[in-house]
Amino acid sequence: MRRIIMDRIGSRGLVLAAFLAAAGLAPSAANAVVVVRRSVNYHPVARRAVVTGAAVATAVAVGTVVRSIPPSCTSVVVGNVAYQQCGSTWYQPRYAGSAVTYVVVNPPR
Amino acid sequence: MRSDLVAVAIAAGLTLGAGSRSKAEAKPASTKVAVDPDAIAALQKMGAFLREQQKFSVRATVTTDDLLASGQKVQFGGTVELMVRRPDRMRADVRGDRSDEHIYYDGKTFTIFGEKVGYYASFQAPPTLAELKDVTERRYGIDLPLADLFYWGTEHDGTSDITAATTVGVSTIAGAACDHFAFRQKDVDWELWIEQGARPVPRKLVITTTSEKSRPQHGMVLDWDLAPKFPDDLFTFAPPPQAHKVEFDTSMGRSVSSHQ
Repeated sequence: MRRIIMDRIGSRGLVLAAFLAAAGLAPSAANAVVVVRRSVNYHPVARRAVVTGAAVATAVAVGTVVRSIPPSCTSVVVGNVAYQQCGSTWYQPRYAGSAVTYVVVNPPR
Repeated sequence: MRSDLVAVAIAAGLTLGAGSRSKAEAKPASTKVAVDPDAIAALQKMGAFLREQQKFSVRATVTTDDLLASGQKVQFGGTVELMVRRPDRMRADVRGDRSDEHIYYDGKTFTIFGEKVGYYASFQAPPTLAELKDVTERRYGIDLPLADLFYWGTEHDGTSDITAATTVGVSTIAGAACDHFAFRQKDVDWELWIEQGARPVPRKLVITTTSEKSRPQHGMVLDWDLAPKFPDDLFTFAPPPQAHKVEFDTSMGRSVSSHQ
């Protein structure tokens, strides 16, 4: 379990960092660095507090957004929409910034 | 010059290696931090040169520190390849331990594609790169790779945030003679190596986050091609059969949990 250190830093916004971020080499990338002027709002996911752990062991509230899903999930397409089904929990992948995140949705079927 | 470097290193709490400084050298002649105008001018010259390039490709080999839960610092790596043909073509391939992103822009459509996850998202894009940057950042939260290198010397640069700038000396990066500069600003120390001669391009960058106890670093070495040949289809995304289109999340304020 990694602590995403740069999230906090990122909110201050850095310039050169941007290119890192852009690079997307780390969730933090954007942040790791530097210089400047980028302000807060460019990395919606990164900006949010990261709740680690257990949440998913039990039922997950619809609307919850996660950065990653368990490896046991199955990719499913319903009505031309992509989902990941993880037991009784369904996630819809989306791009938030340059990263894929997963939002918990009601089962589509 | 030498004493400037040592003073910077001490201030930054860096270890330069045994014998790199004597006690006498360790006493800085002055504790005042100075912004060397030559270092700022070099940044601006680099930015202007990069903005002049109508077509280029650059490959960055990147390392980024992160922390384990124990507090131990670990390093991740990757590469960023950026290919640009002004005014309206861009392609970026980001590959690494924790990243896999491919960006396509052909003057009409912007697409980001994660090859491993097999998802992509697109939007109808403005007709020029200059306009694109604003849209990707403000509306979609996507920073274009390496974009900030191109803004030094414009009103958008970060010069006013720089609290110290030092010309360190000459260094060789991948066989190219470079001028080595060190900068400080709030929460961050950073170093830049700019190629000497006719192509003042950045060849190396190291950023140290000084506000974190572990002082994580992000570094990259850059290799430039200023006369690239691009195939016509390089900038247009053609989704592989197994790829699925997804939406962009432009909402704010949702809670995020993680399984990592």
